[in-house]
Amino acid sequence: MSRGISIEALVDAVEAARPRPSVVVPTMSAVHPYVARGLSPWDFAYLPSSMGQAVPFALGVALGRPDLPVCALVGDGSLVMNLGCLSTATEAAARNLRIVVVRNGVYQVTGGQAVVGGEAVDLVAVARGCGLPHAWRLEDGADPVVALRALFAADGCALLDVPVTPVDDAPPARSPGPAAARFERWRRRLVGDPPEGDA
Amino acid sequence: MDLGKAASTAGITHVVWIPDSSLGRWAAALERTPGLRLLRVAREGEAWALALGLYATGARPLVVMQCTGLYESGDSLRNAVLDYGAPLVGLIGVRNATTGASDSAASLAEPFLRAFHLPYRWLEPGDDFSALTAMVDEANRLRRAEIFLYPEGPA
Repeated sequence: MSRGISIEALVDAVEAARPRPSVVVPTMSAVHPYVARGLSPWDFAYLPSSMGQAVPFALGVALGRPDLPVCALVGDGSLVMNLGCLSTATEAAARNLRIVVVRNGVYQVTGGQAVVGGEAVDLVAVARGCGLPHAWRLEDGADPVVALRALFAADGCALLDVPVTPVDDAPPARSPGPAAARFERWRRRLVGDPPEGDA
Repeated sequence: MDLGKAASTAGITHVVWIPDSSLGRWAAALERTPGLRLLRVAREGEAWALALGLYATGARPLVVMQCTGLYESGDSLRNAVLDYGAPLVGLIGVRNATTGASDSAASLAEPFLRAFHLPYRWLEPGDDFSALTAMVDEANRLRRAEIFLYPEGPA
């Protein structure tokens, strides 16, 4: 497998490519770099999470707000834990759902143990086999911003598998604040009642 | 009152489910209920996460599954209801609740919900779900998560 790009470079590329407004839902190892960069009030750091549930969670948001692109950043370990969610996403036909797979080959937040199946699991083929209209891999040397712009511009639900370099000293996965309060603040923005002081 | 009408009358916008042999009989009724969207999921844990996302946008989902799937989905339920405090409601079919047969699927339902600090109420068996409307209304008015248990026969 390619060594891939850094998680920080991926986050920067998502921010450069995303339309606005849009919703980004990072989870697990993507949360820390997103929070360090500064989350948009439209975004939700799904942590604490139920592992494997970021795609169904984002799907629910996408179905409820079909006017907004909704992008989940999920690890390969999380996705293989719940591959059936790709069938669910296909059937629900949320045209605004985008999935970015942070494919670092490890369970980063638990210390870097290998993900089950490893390189033998072709998540692009799985996504296509589950009926997703679009699924691609970021090839070695390709510009991630270009690939992510294509992802957001796709006509229908789409997945981009991005090889990401695992790190030896990943920060612990911690919620960036009280979970229920963060959720309620974000929910109020989505329903058109943003809390006072929210940009 | 059929399940679709009962849910719709209570303001439910989406039913997120995996059918079992009892509640699955209501698929056609749910699909033809105006204003209600039936969403099928591949595994039960997805249902609570999908419902959490819907709730975040102002939708009012009802999660429907059998108690065995409820047990499978415990972590996702815990995350949605206890971590994020979402007042989600669920209709759970309890296998063998009407037969008196010894079945851990039935006997664990109440202890499981108590362990999750979730309030629950039993519906009557049969085809009339009119009581569900008032129960969902009350849970929504109180903004609390609640589970409604539906007694079933053998699978």
